[in-house]
This record gives sequence, C-alpha cells and structure tokens, in this order.
Amino acid sequence: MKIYNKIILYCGLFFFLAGSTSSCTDYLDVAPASLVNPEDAYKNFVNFQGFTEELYNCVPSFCNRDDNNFFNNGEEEMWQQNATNQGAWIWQVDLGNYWSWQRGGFGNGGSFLDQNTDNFSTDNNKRSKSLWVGAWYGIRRANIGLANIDKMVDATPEEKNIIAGQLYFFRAWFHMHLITYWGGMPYIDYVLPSDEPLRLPRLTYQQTADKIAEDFQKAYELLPGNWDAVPAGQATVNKNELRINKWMAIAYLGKNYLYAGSPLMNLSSGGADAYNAEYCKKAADAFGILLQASETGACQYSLIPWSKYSENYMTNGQGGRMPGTATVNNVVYNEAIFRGPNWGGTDQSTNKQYLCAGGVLQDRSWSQYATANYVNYFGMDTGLPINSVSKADVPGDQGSTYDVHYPWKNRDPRFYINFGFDTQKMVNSTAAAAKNFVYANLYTGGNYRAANTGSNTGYLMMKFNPLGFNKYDNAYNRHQVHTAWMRLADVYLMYAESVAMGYNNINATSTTFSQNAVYAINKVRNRVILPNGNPLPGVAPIFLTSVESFMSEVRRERAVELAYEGHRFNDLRRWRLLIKSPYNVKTGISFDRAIPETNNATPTFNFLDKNVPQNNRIENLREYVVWQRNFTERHYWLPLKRGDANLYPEFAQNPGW
Amino acid sequence: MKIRLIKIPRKTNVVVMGVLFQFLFSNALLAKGVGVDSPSLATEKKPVAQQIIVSGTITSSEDKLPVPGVTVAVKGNPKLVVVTDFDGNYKISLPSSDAVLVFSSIGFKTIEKKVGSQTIINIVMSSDQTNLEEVVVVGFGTQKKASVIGAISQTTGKVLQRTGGVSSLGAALTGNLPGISTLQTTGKPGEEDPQIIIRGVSSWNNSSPLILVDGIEREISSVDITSVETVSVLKDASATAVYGVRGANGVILITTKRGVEGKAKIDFGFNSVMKTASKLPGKYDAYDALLIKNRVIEYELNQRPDSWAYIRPQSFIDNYRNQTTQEQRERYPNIDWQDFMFKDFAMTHNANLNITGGTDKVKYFAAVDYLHEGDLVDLIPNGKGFDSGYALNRLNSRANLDFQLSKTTTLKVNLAGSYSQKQQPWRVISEGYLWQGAYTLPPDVYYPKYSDGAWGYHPLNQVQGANSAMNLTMGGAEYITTTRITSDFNLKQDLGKFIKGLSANVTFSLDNTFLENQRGANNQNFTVYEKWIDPLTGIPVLRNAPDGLTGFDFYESSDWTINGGLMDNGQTRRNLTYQAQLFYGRQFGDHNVTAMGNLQRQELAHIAVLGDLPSYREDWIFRATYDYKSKYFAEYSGAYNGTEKFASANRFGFFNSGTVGWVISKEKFMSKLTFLDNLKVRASYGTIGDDSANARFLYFDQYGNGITRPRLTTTEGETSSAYGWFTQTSIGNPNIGWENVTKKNFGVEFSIFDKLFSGSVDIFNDYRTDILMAGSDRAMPSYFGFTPPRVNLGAMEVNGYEFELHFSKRINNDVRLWADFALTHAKDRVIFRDDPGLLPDYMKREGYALRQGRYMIDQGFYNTWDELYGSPAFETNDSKIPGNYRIMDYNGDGIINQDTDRVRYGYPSNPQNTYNATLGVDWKGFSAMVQFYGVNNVMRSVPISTFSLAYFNNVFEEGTYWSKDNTNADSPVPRLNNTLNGDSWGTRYLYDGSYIRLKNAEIAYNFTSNWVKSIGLESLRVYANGNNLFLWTKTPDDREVDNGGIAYPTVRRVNLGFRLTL
Repeated sequence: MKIYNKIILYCGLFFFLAGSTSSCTDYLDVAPASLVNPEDAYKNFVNFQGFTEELYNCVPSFCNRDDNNFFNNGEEEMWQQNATNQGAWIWQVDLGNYWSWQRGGFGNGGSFLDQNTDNFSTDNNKRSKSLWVGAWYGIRRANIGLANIDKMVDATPEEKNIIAGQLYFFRAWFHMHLITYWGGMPYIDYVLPSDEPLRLPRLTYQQTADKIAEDFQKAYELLPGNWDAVPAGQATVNKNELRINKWMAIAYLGKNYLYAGSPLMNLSSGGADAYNAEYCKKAADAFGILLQASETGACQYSLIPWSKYSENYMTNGQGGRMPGTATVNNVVYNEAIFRGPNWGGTDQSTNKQYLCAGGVLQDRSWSQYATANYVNYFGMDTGLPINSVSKADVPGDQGSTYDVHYPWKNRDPRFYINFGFDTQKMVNSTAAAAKNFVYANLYTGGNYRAANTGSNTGYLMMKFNPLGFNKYDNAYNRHQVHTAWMRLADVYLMYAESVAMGYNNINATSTTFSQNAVYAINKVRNRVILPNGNPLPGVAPIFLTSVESFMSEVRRERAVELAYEGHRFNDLRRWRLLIKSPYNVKTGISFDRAIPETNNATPTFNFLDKNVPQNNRIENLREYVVWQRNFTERHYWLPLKRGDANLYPEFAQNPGW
Repeated sequence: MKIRLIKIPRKTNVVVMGVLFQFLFSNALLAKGVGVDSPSLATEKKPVAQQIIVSGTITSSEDKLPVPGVTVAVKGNPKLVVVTDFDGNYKISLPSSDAVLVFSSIGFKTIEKKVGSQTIINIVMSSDQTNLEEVVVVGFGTQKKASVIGAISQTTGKVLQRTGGVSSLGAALTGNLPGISTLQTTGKPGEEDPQIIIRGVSSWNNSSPLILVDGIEREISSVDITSVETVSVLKDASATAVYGVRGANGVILITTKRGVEGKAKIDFGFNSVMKTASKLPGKYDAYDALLIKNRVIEYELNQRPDSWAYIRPQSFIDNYRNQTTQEQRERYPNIDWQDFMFKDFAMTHNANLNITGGTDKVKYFAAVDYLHEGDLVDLIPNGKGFDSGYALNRLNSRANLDFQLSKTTTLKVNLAGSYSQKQQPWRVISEGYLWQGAYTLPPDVYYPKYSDGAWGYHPLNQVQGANSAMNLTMGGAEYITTTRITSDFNLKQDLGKFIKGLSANVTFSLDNTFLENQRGANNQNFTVYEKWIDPLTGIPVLRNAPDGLTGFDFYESSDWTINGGLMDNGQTRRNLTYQAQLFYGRQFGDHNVTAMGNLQRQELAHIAVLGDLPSYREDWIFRATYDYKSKYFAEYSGAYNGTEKFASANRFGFFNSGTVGWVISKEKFMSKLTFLDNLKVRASYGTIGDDSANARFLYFDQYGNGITRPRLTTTEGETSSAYGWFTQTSIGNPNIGWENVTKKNFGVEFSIFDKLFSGSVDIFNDYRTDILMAGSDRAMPSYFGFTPPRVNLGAMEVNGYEFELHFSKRINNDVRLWADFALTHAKDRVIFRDDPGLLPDYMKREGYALRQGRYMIDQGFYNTWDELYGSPAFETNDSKIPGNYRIMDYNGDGIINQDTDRVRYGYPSNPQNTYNATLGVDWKGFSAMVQFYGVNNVMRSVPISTFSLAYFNNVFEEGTYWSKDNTNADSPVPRLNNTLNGDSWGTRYLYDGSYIRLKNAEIAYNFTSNWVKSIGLESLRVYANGNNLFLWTKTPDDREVDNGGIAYPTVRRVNLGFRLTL
C-alpha cells in the first residue's frame, strides 16, 4: 500500500510540474519593473537634460585620447622612426595612406577620427571616443530627443527651448565636423529606421552646410547666452562653462559658412577654385554678432591677457583645472568658446609626447618634434615675417632683423612659448643622471639629436611641456592639456578672413560688427606683449596693399596663434594648399655652434650665454627636407569606409580613393 | 524584482556536504567490515535440509586467472546466492541436485550449469566485450549499441586516463573521439582547456558544443578524469534533436561513475608528471644575430643610408663570444631567454581515491582527486617575501549515491565539489609583458638582472622590450579560488503497475560556483632599479629619475600589499535545473517501442555575463523509437524550446529529426556471408535551432539610466554632472527568431571476421540558415548612428565525412594486438553574410570558409632591379630592394592596395582534417600503446619577424635568406630601417599549420600475481605514459590558435604513475 501512495505522490508531483507550465510564456517573460521605462527620459527637464548630456560625451578629446595623439596633421610636426612600429597615424598621413584613419587599418593608428582598440562608448573613458562613430551616434541621439520633445510636459517653455537648442546644436556640430573631413553627407534629421534599406544620397558640401546652418540658427535662437543667468541653469550654477549657449551656436554658424565658402569646399560643391563670397559674407555676419557682443561686454567671452596666455591650452598646479579661461586681477577671461569634456589627466599623453624620448627627457620610445618650416612662420618682434621666403637659412629682407647666426633672436614672443632650441636650458635638476641633458644640445651631433632618441628637426616642441616637464624635474602637478575646439582668437581670425574674402576688401565690415579685417587680426596680434612692455605690432603696411598679400599674413597668423591646436591640417585643406609646395614638406635645421662643445661625455657647455640662449651664435645654418609628402588631389579628403562606400552608388567614395 | 535564485548561504552548503561525506565514508567502512567478517563475502542464507554442497573455482578464459565477485545463483530461487572470493572460489549449499547454477559477472558471458551429481564445478568464463560496450549514453537516456542509429562516438574514462598526465578533461578528449577537434592555445596551469569543435564551424556566433555532465549543463573543467565513466559525443540531428536549440554545435555527454553492488572496492591512483615547454620559436644568439644584422645593413644601405648607424665591427661582435668576466656578460649580454625563463622541467602531481560498493539498497561511488599543476617559469628570487609565478591546486570530490527506496523507486543523488586555487601574477595588464622573452626578446637586449641588483630595461622600448623575467618575478601573486558545488537529485518511479513499461523520472539540480580573486600579494605598481648598459660605450643608462621635488636619489619602494581576497559577486553562478520525464518502453513480440517525454526548465544567474536578471530556459522534449526484430529501426525525436531572447510570437521553436536504420547483416540473404558480423546503414535528417547570439532580450529597445554621467565640468576633481543619464542602450528587433541548422547524416557500420575489423563511415552535411547577425556585422551605413539590431540573415554550410576503423586480433591467449584509426573531414563555407552589395566578390566573406584569412599574395622574389621596376608599386611609398617579394596586384589597378589586393588565401585557421591512429599491444600483464594525432588543411599566422625594431637584434631561425646567388631562399632578407608595411611580407608569416603529434604513449604492467595479493591488494597497475611527446610541424611554435600575441608555452608531459585496487 505504501508503494502505491508513493506512486501517487510522485505522479502527482510530475503532473503538477508539467501542469504548471501552462503559463510557460510567463516563465520566459522579462519582469517589466526590472527595466528602465523609455518614457521617463523625456518627461521633465532633469531627465531630458540627462538624456541630452550624453551628447557631450560623443565629442572626442582629440588632444588627450591615447598615449600619442595625432591632431596636428599638417606640416607642423615630425615623427621618429619608432612611430612606424606603432603604425602611427601621423606617419601614415605623411605616407599619404589616409585609409589608416579607420579602425582595422594598419597598426594601432592613434587617430581620433575612428575607434582604436576600445569600442565606442559614451562612458567616461577617453579611449572609447572617436569623431566618426561619436558624431553619427550623437546625431541619432539628437534626432531621438527631437522626436520626443513633445513628451516633455513637465517643463517650462524656457527649459524646453534649452533642450531643443542643445539638440539642434549637436546635430549641426556633428554633421559639420563629419563633412569637414569626409565631404558632403546626407543630413540626418529624423530617427532612421532599422528595418528598411537606407539609401540616402550624399549631398554636396554646401548643401549639407546649408542644413547645418539652419540648425545652428535654431540653436542660436533657442539657447540662453549664459546658463548661469537663467533658472534652468541654476542646478549647475558656476559649472556651466561647457554647456552649449547661443554664442557657441553663432560662432559655429560662422565657421560653418566660412568652411562652406572656402576654396576646397566651394570647388567640390561645383563652384570655382576660389572663395565663395556669399558664404563668406554670411560667415562674417555670424562672427560679427559674437565679436560685437564680446567687445561691448554683452557676452562672457574675451581674450585672455598675455600674462596668462598659456592657460588657453594648459594648466599646471591648478588641481587639473581645464584650460580655456584665466583669472587676471580678479577678472575672469573666457577665451575658450567650445570645449568638449575631458576624461582624466594627461599622463603618458600630450604632456610627454613632444619631449625628447628614449631616456633624454622622457622614457618613451619616440616623440614628435616641431618642424623647422613651421617654426619659420613665427616672425620677428616687429610683426614682420622672418624673410620673404620663410626659410631658416636665408637672411632677413623686407626690413626684418632676422640673422642666420642668431636665428632665434628678436622673434615673436609666441616663438619662445612654443619651441625649444639650441643651448636652451631644459632641465633644472642637478642630478648626475641629468647632467648631460641640462641644456638642449641640438646642434649637429649634439646628444639631443641622436638617431632614435633625439630631435630630427633641430627643434623641440614646448608649448604643452615647458621647462621642468621632464623625468628629472618632474614638475607635473595635475598638468592638464586640453585645447579648445574653438576660442575667441580663432573667431577674430576667421572674421578677418571671411570679411576680407566676402567683400574682397580688407577695409570692409560685416553688417553686424563695425570693425574690419585688419582690426580683427591686429586684435589678436596686439594681445601679445613684447619684453619691453609694448604690444606686438600688427600687420605691417606692406601686407595691407591687397587682399592677397593680407591673406598671407592671415594664414601666418593662424599658424602662429593657433599652433598645435589642431587647426592647421583643415586650414591647409580648405585653402587648397595642402598638396602644394612649400606646404607639403617638413624640414629640419642643422648647424654648428660658434664655440664647439669639446667633450660630450662631461660637457662644459662652452657657450657664452646660459640664460638667454638666443644670444649664442651659431654657424653653418642649413635647412633640409626631412619629409616630403607626395600628395595628389585625393589627399584633400579622407576616404570613406569601404563598408559604407560599397553599399549603394549614391553614397559614393571620395574621388581618388 | 527577481534577482537571486533560492539563496542558500555558503556555509550551509558546506555543512550539508560535510555531513553527507561523513555518512558516505562511514557507510563504506561498514561495507568493508562486513567483508572482513565473512571471508566468502556471500550473503549466506540458512541452510535447508538435505543440502548438497557444491564448490569450485572460476577462472577467466583470457588470462586463466581466478575471477572474484562472480555471482553464483540458483535458477528460480533468488534467495540462494553466493559470490566468489578473491581466488575465484565459491561454495554453495543447494536444496537438491536438480538445481541449475547461474554464473554471472559483469563483463563475462553468463553460464548456466546443471548440478546433477557433481560437487565441484569449475567454470571457465569467457569475456563478453560486446556486453560492456553495449550501452551507449544518448540524450536523456541510454541505448544499446546495436540499436543506436544516430552518429554517436563514445569513449570511456579508462581510455582518457592513458593521456599522460593531462589534467584537463577537454584536452584529454583530443584524438580519442572521432569527429571532434580541439585547439590548444596555452599551457598555463588551470587554463589548458582547449576550444572544442565538433564537425566543423557552422556559425560565427558560437561554435562550442553543449557540454553536459550527468545531464546538466556544466563546465568541462569541473570534472576530473578519474571520475569519468563515459564520454559520448552526439553529432547528427538524430542524436542532438532532443537538445533542440542547444545542440546545434553537437553535444558532449559526460557521465560520472556510479556505485556497483558489492564489497567496498578502493581504488587509489597516483601520477607524477614531468612537464617541459613544447616547441618555441628558435632564435639566434647575439653573435650570430649581429653578423646577420651587418649583412642586412649592407643589403639595404643603398636605400637606407641611415642604417649604417647600426653596423658593428667584428672586433665588437667578438665580445659576445668567449666571455670571461661578469662585467663582460653584463655589457655584452647574450641571453638565451627561453632557457633563462623556463625550468628544464616542472612537476605536476595528481592523487585520486575512489571507493565504490554497496548493497541492494544503497550503492555508492565516492571519489577524491587532488591535483597540483606546477609552473614552468624559472623565477629569479625577488627578495620580497612572496613567491610569484603560476600554479594550480585543485581538490575535487564526488559522491554518487543510488538508493533503492522501494522495488520500483530509485533515488540518485550526486554531490560534487571542486575547490581550485589558481596562482598567477597580480592583475596582469597584458600577457605580452610576460612572455616576450619566450618569443621575441633579443638575446642582447639587456642583462635580465645585473649583479648590482638592477633589472634590465631598454630605454628605447619598454613595451616590446619589456623584461619578462622581471615582470614574472615582481608581478606579485594573485590567488584565484573557484569553488563549485553541484548537486543532482533524481527520483525514478517505475509505473509498471499502471501501464506496463512506463516509468517517471524527476530531476532537480542546483549548481553553485563562487569565485574569489585578488587574494595574495599585490605588487602591481612596483618600482625597481632598472638600467641598461650601452654596449658601445659601457655607460649605464638608468631608468629611474631622482625625486622631482627633493632631488634625492631613487629608491626601490617596497609597497606591495597583502590583499585578503574579494568574492567576485559578478562571477557567482547559480544554475537551477529541474526536469520531469515520462518513459515508456515495451516489447510486443518482435516489435520494440519506446517513447520518452521530458520537460526541463533552467534558471541561471550569473551577473558578470547576464546582468542582474537571471536567464530562463524552457524545453519540452520527446523521443519515440521503434524497431522490428532489431533489424529495422526508426526514431523520431524533437524538442519544443523556449528562449527569453525572442518576442512571444517567436519564443518557442519546434525542432525535430527522424532517423531510420537497417541492419542488413541480419537479413537472410546475407547469412551466406559468414565473414560479416554486422552491417548496418543509417540515415538521419532533422533541424536544430540555435539562439546563441551573445545578448539577451533581442526583441525590444532597451534603455538605461544613471549608467554614467558626463564630466561636464572644468574642475577635474568633479566627476559628474548634476543630471543622471537616460539613454537607449540597444535597439530591438521584434521579428528576431531562431537560427536553423538542417543536419543530414548517412552512416554505415560494419564488423567483419569475428570483429577483426570493425568500423564506420559517416557522411554529413550541416546547413545553417537565419544565422543571427550582430548589428555591427550588417551592411548598414555608418550614418545609422548606432549598432543596428540583430537580424536572422546569415547562412553557412559544413560538409564532411568521418571514417573509423578498428582492428583487434588476439594472437593467442597472451597476446592481443589492436589498432584504431579515425579521420574526420569537415569543410565549412559561408553562404550568405550580408556583405555590402558593391564589394567585389573576392573581398566578400560569402563563398569562403569562415576562418579563412585575407592576405597579400606573394609570387616569389624580384631578383634584379629590372624585375623590381617591373613590379607594381605600393600604395604608400615603400622602398623596395631586389630580394623582396613580388606582391600580386590582385585587382590589376597597377598599385598594391592594402585592402583591395588582399584576398582570401589558403586554409582556414581551424583544421579541416583531423586524424588519429592508435596502436596497442597487450601481452599478459603488459600493455603498450601509442597514439598519433594530426591535423591538416589549416593555416596559422605567426607574425614574429626578425629585426622587428631596428635596434633590436632578434633573429629567428628562418632558413636561408635571399641573395643574388640564392634566389630560391626560404625568406627574403630582413629589413632594419624601412617604411615597408606588413604588406610586403605577403604570406611570409602564414604557416601551414598542419602537424602530427605523438599525442600519447603508454607502457603499463598489471600485477595480478600472488605477491600483490599477499600485500593485500587486489590489483596493481604501474605505468609510464606521455603526452605531446613529439611534434612534427612547420610552424615555429606549438600552439593551435593565435589568440592575440603570445602566451604561456604549451607543454609536453611524461608521467609515471600507479593505480592499485584494494
């Protein structure tokens, strides 16, 4: 009997188990409470701003993304042989192999344009960012936000405008930076479906720029000038510097028009190989609005005074504060207009990549060095270029005081901020290990010029790493390098360019700002203070005779003022100069000291002036080509990814690739 | 919110285990005690009147030795049973001389003998091999071998124990099961489980088979080899359909040993294994390397004048030979890194103890297995107070209990625990920092540790020049402890009272895995003196700078810390499975019918993989078989599977398969062919599903909040914005559904000349459609802006065949020869993979094997400048010199493009053919065996190149170099300073990955003679065997997969061991 009871028991158990599965679909359902409700994201300002702020993390930190950062892809810096072992993007650019901007290209690339090893993410990891992926991602997010803006019921109209304004701004900003490198794109202004083939055709550059302009214009109209001054910004008061405001929108509206009106973009949109006056005028009007506000104190942006000039791109000993603003005599100067977020310090990054490697100043396998041709753009303290041909080994003419025996004397003060040169003191430490490297021995055969460890151009790039930033002195104190995407000096120079080219007249003004191009460029020049206390003179009269000669000074000023801040490559491209001589060569200098060093192992530093290195005479200065880029027309645009360009004919590859 | 499964505190588990073990062992001792009391070991019954006493000895026909443990029973009287003792003797009292005695024992043919007037009946029993192999473990049950009509291979634990001290069960399967191929990447203790592929790769999502231990999905590393009874590999649709979606890549069923009725039998085994590093790339010493470097400089000087900086005079190079002082050795280091870093041999020990026995009420099998895997790395003393390096210590225990609760009710309880502690350097960032020495570090890069205590470093390159010896020694020691407790409870009820042949079966299983890491010595941020002596000047270069603030000299900080260990909750894993099964099996005359239905649910919680929500599975399974006279067979089986990954409309998939078999040899018309023992043909066809895409809830959009916050601040210390995030984390595809694999298999089994030869041939085809395509693999434009949802798009096919041949010949009673051969061929091809439409065919993945690489094709050297000028230019400015490869301009556009001239070439990285051959001989107590295992049609890319850096003097043994007098060289001349990219090497570093290994070899002797018994043993087996003893290959090292860079070397093992039975 007992057994039968058991049988019944177990059979019952079995059928209970089997029967309970009538609700089998429930068993596999996911519990709804365990997931985030999408509607929550849009219901009020706090949540929607949380949704919107992810877009900020789509902006890559181009100068602080990897161990080596290659954001100066013009002719301003030279790599070392070791770069080839790491497949450095800067080396591949010089080879003309633009394909390697793409992930999966040769080596580990290191370009900020595409992902490297880490997958894209909007987390707080600096390596997981890239322009190509982040921009398209951000555009989709902006479109999702705009599609759901009406769900924001629990908000004031102002709050709604702020959300919409940011979304429009980012949609435009991402498109603009994509077309800057890759040319015209479809303008994505709705949430693309995933279940139907996407066959949007590419627009021309100017067609895309027109759409971008519409969004920047909307953003300008919707956004406040300063978040700190409006109720919606109070939750983050005094921490709103990076949040988008109307001035950023108007400045980028101008830049968008200037780019669209530049020769390369005009030509590739079917226009002439020249500036497009209409776009330039629109650009000047947009810039003018910001400059007018700046000069009248109606906005928070102004040029940082010369005494704190370096805080435009670098801080040290300020707790890792992001550069871009400075406080002088209790007055805050905001020069940086648009900066992306920064993720962590610059250790093993921009703070070391430019100093002598291989144990000289840093234990790194290689460095990047300032090219002599670029150094030569830094003119004299008279405001004149060093000579008419900008050659290091040609004596000055046109009234410049340039001397091939004292080539570093009486230069534009910004020269001394940017570069290290022979006999300059590089190390403060008196440690025995540092003894050989206290002074930059950059003459031919000097120990700063060894094959794998030293400079291959005769210069050092010190803009981000001045004296003390080496392994002996270790002066790093929360050193922060973070260059702005756009700062006010850039806007002045772009205004000068656009107003001059829009009206073909260097004395013309825009409809929104009553100053002309010469005023704008001199505003930037005169900020620089000479050792004698006078401002650096403006553009010399000989360059004020025609738009063309004026433009040569605009180009030089952009090279000098915005050196190593990531603008040169795009400037050379849009001016259609990138593939032309002399912009396609990188040079170095060789020279001997007038008083030769006698014993390298225990240097006696037989030069006269140990405090003012430019007073030491050199001989036999010679400029030589380190690298020549064999570029063709195709090198004006980067190639699209094969996976994109092979999908359908209307999304065609850029010419030549 | 449901997160946890039934939460059982860890302590409770341990206590329960402890109690059960105690019970077990006491029971075992009890059984033994009974044996001591009654020497005959018989369950003697009270003698009946007029009894006749019959006695005798039972011997085996094979070895003429007495057979203990034979059951001697009286036919028709189940109460009258005795068992033979050690010497094969029995004595039984019988009621009358009419009785018929039945002699039976597992492994022998049962004999019946009428007693009559005899009082001594000696029996010679002959072995019944077929009976032993008769039962094959199939999905959710067992089948007689004769009636198996699916493609199933099976091996036994005994076979796997011959694999020469291999501690990984996965690795031991290699070569012992036709149809599976394994890919070994590393020899790191505790991580030797290879990738297992059954019958080729037919999906890019997941190619791993389903591995079940006692019917439950478990890791193969949770079982030790000595506990294994059988391992079955299910390969075709017929065999795997019952696993439905999970069986698409084949199934491996591991069954553990169970108790056998009888006196406690104690089995103890001990292995002592010597292991040494297997093949590593050959490097030249510094002297030879510098001579070659000079040649290279001469060769490229014309193109690269700057290479002259590296030329060295003979007088300088001579310094690397004939060194007499330590100073010389340090200034001109000439280190054989492989020799320096690794010991000549390392030891591994394994001891295991099994106890098995039981009564008709309770049967038990209990096992304890201890393993210590030693480390090949030869550490320099670090003087820090901790020992770095690698090790694995593992203690496995298992108790399998069978309770006969009533005549019709059995309860099986399996409890197993595994405690393994792995040691490794603390939180290694990159394996490359540890193993560079074994592969690429130049002999003269630096002295590993200078006599003044400074470690060597290279100022020019601390990544590729990382000091492996230093990092291994100083890297700290992390102990990673994995604790596994698995438990199965299975209740089987015979329901024959209601319906004859019906039984029900309920299984409940709960597995827990815990992982503790970060225990040990954390020396992650160690700073030590590092220096390098410039051989040219003799001047040391110090790495360590003085203190920046004070200017004080550098000092070695001793800031390593002891960490107490952290439970990694993310890695805690709980797997709860329950099953209910009904089985019906009955014979109606010549008709045999079985039917099985099963419901299974699985709930798995594993935060690191699945997130906070446990995953669920539900499967309904059935199988029906029919045979007529064991001659015609038919089987139909299937599964109705549910997954949480798909929307409710697609959530359940039905997969089924049908099989037919025909034993031709049983037909009358075949009876004249007397040499033919068995000839069976079988064919199966069915579909299996798969949902193994590595993501969950694929059908709806998912959002996240508060994941992270932007650093929208200019102050670095402030890490977050005031606004928490909301973001879409994935896009769902409501239409997503199952991958479908259609599997076809046709097989023939045969056996001839009284099983002198037997074997089988299988031809198979797997055709997989609707393969889940990850969004990132789809042909979607970048401007979509997000990872597109997964879709069912891909298609793949695998074609192949398997061939097995067994040979067994008994020459006389003492000598037996045997041999097994097997060959598997499996070739896969991508049929559709959403390649961009405008891509040229040769750049697509369609039409090629999945793991076939794309390479630049080289067409020999250009030997003269004329030929060089006639060759197409590289896209980038590469300096070409005669003696380089002529690279094929595949698309004919006149330029070598990095991407568009790269074509799929050679064989894939998984072998298409695997074959093995085992030869053995048994002679009395001796047995010897060799097993060869080989693969071919496989390619491996091993890009370790000579002079990878201009200032590094690593020269590999690469055969002859090109010169104008030797245009048939093995390799182009290496280059020092060049702007050549990898393209110019073509397929130089692509190797034919074929190999043949002497995988296993064994010599063993079985002592069964009297002296063994005189010391109280039943048997003693001593053996020497080895694993991976010889390797014939063209690849520079012994690895089967390149998993990114370099790894702990694979090993070769020699093992001495014994196994004794009490």
